[in-house]
Amino acid sequence: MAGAEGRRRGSDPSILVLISLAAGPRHGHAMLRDIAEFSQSHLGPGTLYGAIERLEADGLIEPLPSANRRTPYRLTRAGEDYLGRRARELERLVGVALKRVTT
Amino acid sequence: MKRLILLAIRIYPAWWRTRYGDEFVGLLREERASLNILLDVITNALKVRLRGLRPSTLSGGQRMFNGVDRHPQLLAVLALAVMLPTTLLVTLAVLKYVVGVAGPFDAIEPAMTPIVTHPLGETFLVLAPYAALLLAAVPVTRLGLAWRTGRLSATIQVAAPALNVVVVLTSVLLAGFMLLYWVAENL
Repeated sequence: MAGAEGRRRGSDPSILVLISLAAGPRHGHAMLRDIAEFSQSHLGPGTLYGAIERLEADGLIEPLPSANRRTPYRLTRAGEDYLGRRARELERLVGVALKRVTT
Repeated sequence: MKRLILLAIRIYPAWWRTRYGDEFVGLLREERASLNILLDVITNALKVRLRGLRPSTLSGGQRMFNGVDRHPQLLAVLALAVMLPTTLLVTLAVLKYVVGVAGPFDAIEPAMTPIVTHPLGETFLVLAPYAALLLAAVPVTRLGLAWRTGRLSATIQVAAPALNVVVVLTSVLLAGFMLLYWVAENL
């Protein structure tokens, strides 16, 4: 998992997907809409599925039963833990950045 | 444009299309087609292909190797065809000289002698098992080299259909036999 974290560190689409799924299971189209809404990032379908494939491979998300060519995904326990760690790390970095730019 | 985008899915490896193709097509049908999306699909398909050249990071064998894309069973059949003359010759020679059943070998000997005694024919018969081994093994084998924390690590991953395993084992046996034959004849 440490290797997977290292690989994902600079990979925003994966984090965006995890944040989107933290609100509950979603299929690809719903993820794209949600991500565009909360981050103003317009991911392409290829980028989205690149992230989905890597996250699934690393056991951070898992598919739910498909219907009408739509497969919802949800966070796994490992995915929740990983997102929590990354969020706290980002929060710490943002704190440092805010301190430095406001002093 | 939408048709082009759907066509671009073919750039993804077969295992990827098997796993994600249906839902990916569903998503693409819902999205508005644009040049950006076409480029996004092509770029990511190429990334998946490039990742396929590295050892898989998956556990539990969720992902087949990119070797599956290279039609390993078709290549195994080709390998069988390549080593068929050698297999026939070795089998009949073993029947005659080890088991004592000379009939089949004596029946083909007049036809085989000009081939076996010709340098090209002999080279083909000796090298055919090696060629078959490569044809059957390479598409289902992935080698990986990585430099991590000052150490070089090498990995070999194999995902072989039964036919490829049979061809590999047979070709190794034949290669050994033909090597002994070549040594006995030339040294």
